[in-house]
Order: sequence, then C-alpha cells, then structure tokens
Amino acid sequence: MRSAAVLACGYGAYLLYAFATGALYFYLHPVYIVPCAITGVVLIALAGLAAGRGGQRVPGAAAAMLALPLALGFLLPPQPLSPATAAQRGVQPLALGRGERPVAFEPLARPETYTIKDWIKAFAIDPEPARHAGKPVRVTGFVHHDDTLPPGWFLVARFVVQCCAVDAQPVGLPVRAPTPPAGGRWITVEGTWDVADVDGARRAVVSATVVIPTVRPDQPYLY
Amino acid sequence: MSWLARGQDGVTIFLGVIVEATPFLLLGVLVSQALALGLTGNGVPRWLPRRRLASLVSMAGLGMLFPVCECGNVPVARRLLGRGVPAAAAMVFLLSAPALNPVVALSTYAAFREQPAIVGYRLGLTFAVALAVGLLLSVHPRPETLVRAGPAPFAHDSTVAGPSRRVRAFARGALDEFAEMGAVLVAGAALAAVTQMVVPRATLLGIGQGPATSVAVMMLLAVVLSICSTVDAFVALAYAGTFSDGSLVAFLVFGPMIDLKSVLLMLRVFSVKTVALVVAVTAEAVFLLGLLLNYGVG
Repeated sequence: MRSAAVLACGYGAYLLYAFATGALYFYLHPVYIVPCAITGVVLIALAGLAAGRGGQRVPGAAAAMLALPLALGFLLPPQPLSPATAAQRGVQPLALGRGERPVAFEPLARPETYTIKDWIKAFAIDPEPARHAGKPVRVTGFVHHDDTLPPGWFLVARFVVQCCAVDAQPVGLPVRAPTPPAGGRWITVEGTWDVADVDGARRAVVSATVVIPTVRPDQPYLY
Repeated sequence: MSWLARGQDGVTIFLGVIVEATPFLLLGVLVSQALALGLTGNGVPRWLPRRRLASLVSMAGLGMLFPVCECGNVPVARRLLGRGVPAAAAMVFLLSAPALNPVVALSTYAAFREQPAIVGYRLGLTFAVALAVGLLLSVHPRPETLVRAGPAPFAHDSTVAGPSRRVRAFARGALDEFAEMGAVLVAGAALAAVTQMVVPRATLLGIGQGPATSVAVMMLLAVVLSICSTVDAFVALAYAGTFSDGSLVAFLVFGPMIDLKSVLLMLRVFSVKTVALVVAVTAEAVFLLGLLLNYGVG
C-alpha cells in the first residue's frame, strides 16, 4: 500500500464500486456521478501506466491517511444521511431548503405526483393554505417529530442535496394523523391538504388518510 | 442509537466530500503535469509579464483557464513556483483562481439570479483582495523565505527518451502528486465532517445577526464547512433571508481563499509564516469589505 499507483488504483476501484452499487447516490448530486465513475477509470488507467519498478514511495502517514476512506468505504455498509442529522440541522415545516427558489416551478396537472420538494415550492409561490385545501397528496419520506408542532402532528421529511452530503438540507411537510408513526421511520403518506387553526393562526397540514410503512428509496435524497 | 447514526452520518459526509473532490483533484494534478510538460526549461514562463503589477494581474486572470477548485489549484501553483514564478504571483493565483473562473461565476449566478450584484461583488472583491495580498508579498525583503523549504515538487525527467517512458513518467508524476494532495484532502474532509457533526449549526446561526457579527460568523462558517467553490453559492443562498448581503459576499470571497483544507494544502507549498500572514491579511480585508457593504458603501 506504499505505492502511489496502488493507492490510486484503490481510489479508482472504490469510485467504481460505489458507482456500481448505487452508493454514490448517498454522497452526491446525480450530476457528479458520471464524472466520479470516469475519474475511477482514469485513476486505474494511470495506475496501470505508472506501474513498474522504481517509483517513489508514499510516506507512511500519508499512506495511512489515504487508506482511511478506502477502509471506511469498502468495509462499512454505505448509509445515506440519517434522520438523526435532520434533527441536528433542523427541519422547518414547508420552508425551502438552501439554494431552492420556486421560480422554475410549474404547477403540475396531477398534484398527487408531487414530491415533498414540489409541494414546498408550490407553497413558496402561493402560501395561502386555503388555496391548497383539498388537493390530494402522496409523498414518501421519513418521520420527523418536532416539539414546536401541535400534538398529533409530525413532519414527513427528505434531505435536499445541491452537491454532496455536506450541504444536505432537510425539508418537510406537516402531517396530521390519528396515530403518528415513530420518528425516523420511512413512510408513504396519502391524504389531502387541510387548513388547521393553531393558536389563532391558519396553517396548512396534510390530513393523512393512510400512512404506509415503507423501505428507504434507493435514491434517498431529493435534488 | 442516535450516536451510532450520527457516527454513520459523519462517515457519509466524510466520504461525500472526498468523492466529490476527487475528480477536481485529479483534474488539477493532470493540469499540473501537463504544465510541467509544456513548461520545460528552468526559466520563468515567457508569457508572464516581467513588471510586478502586470504579472500579478495576469496571475489573477489565469484562474479563468483553470476551472478547478482550491484542492486542484495547489499542484498547479507549486508547478508554477518550480518554474521560477515569484511566490507572490503564485499566491495571487492560489487565492483568486478558485473563485475567478467561469464555472464558479456561472454557479454563483445560478444561485443568485435575483441578486446579480452578489456575483459582481464576489468576482471583483476576490480580484482586489488577491491582488492586494500579492502586492504585499511582493515587497517582502527576502522572498525566498516565503516558500516552504523542502524537496522539489515531484517532477519527472521529461528529457528521458522514448514515448512510453514519458507516458509512464507523466502517470507517475500525476499519481505521486495525487497521493500527496489526496492525503491532505482526506485530513481536511475528516476535520470538516467532525466539525459539522459536533458544532450545532444553530449555535453559529444564533450569533450572527448584526452587521459586524454576521460577517464574522459567515467567514467562520466558510472556514468550517470547507465547501468547494463551485457549489458554495448554493450554501450561501440558504442564509440569504437571514444574513446580511455583506456577510454573504464575505462568505463567497473568503471561503474559496481560506478554509480548513485549502490552508492545509497551502502549507505544503508555502512556509508557515507566509500562510499565517496571508490568512490574517485576507481575513481582515474580507471582513472590512463585508462591513463596508453592510453599511451601504458598496
């Protein structure tokens, strides 16, 4: 592991492994996925060209540093950001995530196909809860409980990623259900938008008709 | 359970930064090796103007040709130093190129379509601050002490005959540099991931509302987050509603120049004293400019 060619080959192999297994979707915006795979191929090709006797050795500390992400990447099962980090970063109900502007949003014909992010953009364009009341909702996300919400409410949330996991921002829709599910679970919520009176203020909330436990999607983030 | 999940998230952020930066790092070392091939000989490149100000200005513009972020620029800067480009000029390149390039200009415009002035401030102030730091370094009485003493950068012997040997030498030079810079990138990514998991974002945001404190907090955030300059505009936009314009510009100007990983990379090339001086001068200049913008001078 002391040769730069061997280490570069390891990085190339890791990028291709993460590409093939879909793990890159846990780390990056999809626009960077193909460049990453190409980088993997180029690194392996360079390692092949550089192979042979007489190269410099990478200093021990640098080699150990470089081996760390390879060990973590190959040995640990890849995981997307968890709801625990959503709690740390703070989820604002119906608030746009970083970098999001509703300008490019065209209301679709079938609101039941909206993602959580689509709904947030729709509310950014028209914040009046009454004008959304009655529209059908079907979204998938994880459950996030927040003390500032009225009793019986929770958020169905997703991370929005601009570039990579470091900038992931959680966004969520408020949901009202007779029996709120446990925090962190992935669910699909079906229901309709409703207007609720909370301490004298009118607030939009999804009145859930069904809450279906589901598995985490292969692409867990929204973009 | 929560701590286990948080640990896993730290690993995800860590790998995310590395995976996202690796293509840019590879691009940087390939450009650096190509420069080594193209800039054979020992003299200062002929295209670089001899007059001090002209050479510094042209180094600031050089970033336009290298759409590479801060991790990719250090190998290029070191290559230029190896060819006899003065330390002050190489530092101007290092400070300006990450933000003064077409990719960053486009991504900043994409993020701030509704406030195009932010893009102008970002590019203009980056140019001004980098040039000011370069002028300061260029009057240093002993310029040879600015650069880190140590072995010369990995340079293959390009005079070796035979095309296949030259290809091998090129690949070796690129991968040696990739390994050296990559190790620093890994350290920076680890630091950024740990800080993100340990320092609650709310702690930073709670402090910065005033015209001065908001600038300081956004500059600190830029250092802590260490996000690539090609995408940091989208991060800045998240604070557009709550933070002053001056602090957003300070974030966008300071972040590409000084952050955890770029400082570690700079230390590979410049002496500790030089890096400390550049960090201090850059931080003061950006802070004052952010403050001026907030008080409506801009």
